[in-house]
Amino acid sequence: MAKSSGASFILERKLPALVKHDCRPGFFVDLARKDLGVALELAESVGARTALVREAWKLYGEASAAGFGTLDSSGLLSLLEPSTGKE
Amino acid sequence: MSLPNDAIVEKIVFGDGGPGLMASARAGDVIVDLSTVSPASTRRLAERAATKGVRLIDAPVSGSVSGAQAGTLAVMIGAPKDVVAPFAPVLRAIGTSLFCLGEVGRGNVLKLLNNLVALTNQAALCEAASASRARPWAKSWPRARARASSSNASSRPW
Repeated sequence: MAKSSGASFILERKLPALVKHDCRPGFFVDLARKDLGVALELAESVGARTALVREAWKLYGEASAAGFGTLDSSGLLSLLEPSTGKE
Repeated sequence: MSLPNDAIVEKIVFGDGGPGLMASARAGDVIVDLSTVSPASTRRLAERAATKGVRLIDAPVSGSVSGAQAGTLAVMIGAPKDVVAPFAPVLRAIGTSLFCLGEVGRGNVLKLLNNLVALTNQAALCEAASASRARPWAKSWPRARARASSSNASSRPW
């Protein structure tokens, strides 16, 4: 995927950790939620549509509520597949 | 300074119980705020500082922890080039790319839009990673050569 159209800075930087399910920070889930929240307010204040971002923001919020707030923000994976854990 | 939110930035700049940065600032001083906060809060603080002749500019950074360690961050600066020039050598210590965006607050506009893309992208990536481990095909990925797959964990063709 890193050589395909799905490539991104995040993919490149976070993939090794995602593969290993290594959620050491990094950049906290809580900070990701805060930044996306402020970005949402900014976008909405100028009337921009934010459907997609709002869903992502909710996911970070759920991860935070589930106790993953101080994991790396890629630790969303822990929310999406709680059974996997650290292999 | 680089702080977690706008309330904390305000306390550090204007004081909260004790003196803030403004207490010892002189007219002509410039406060560079690397925090990621709302552009509206940056503009508000900048206006308050300006009444004492102090210039507050937003200069949030991006490029992850590794970028900070390597000094290769992108710095998004809410000020014109001539204002930034005297501080450019300091900012270059942390970032190879300095973007002077003119008005105060614009650094945070760009940074927030950047994070909007990066963090939504990351959420999508986590959903894809989760789907890739689904039972029907979880065991069938061929071993990839990517450095990401060099761990003892199972390989994925990304």
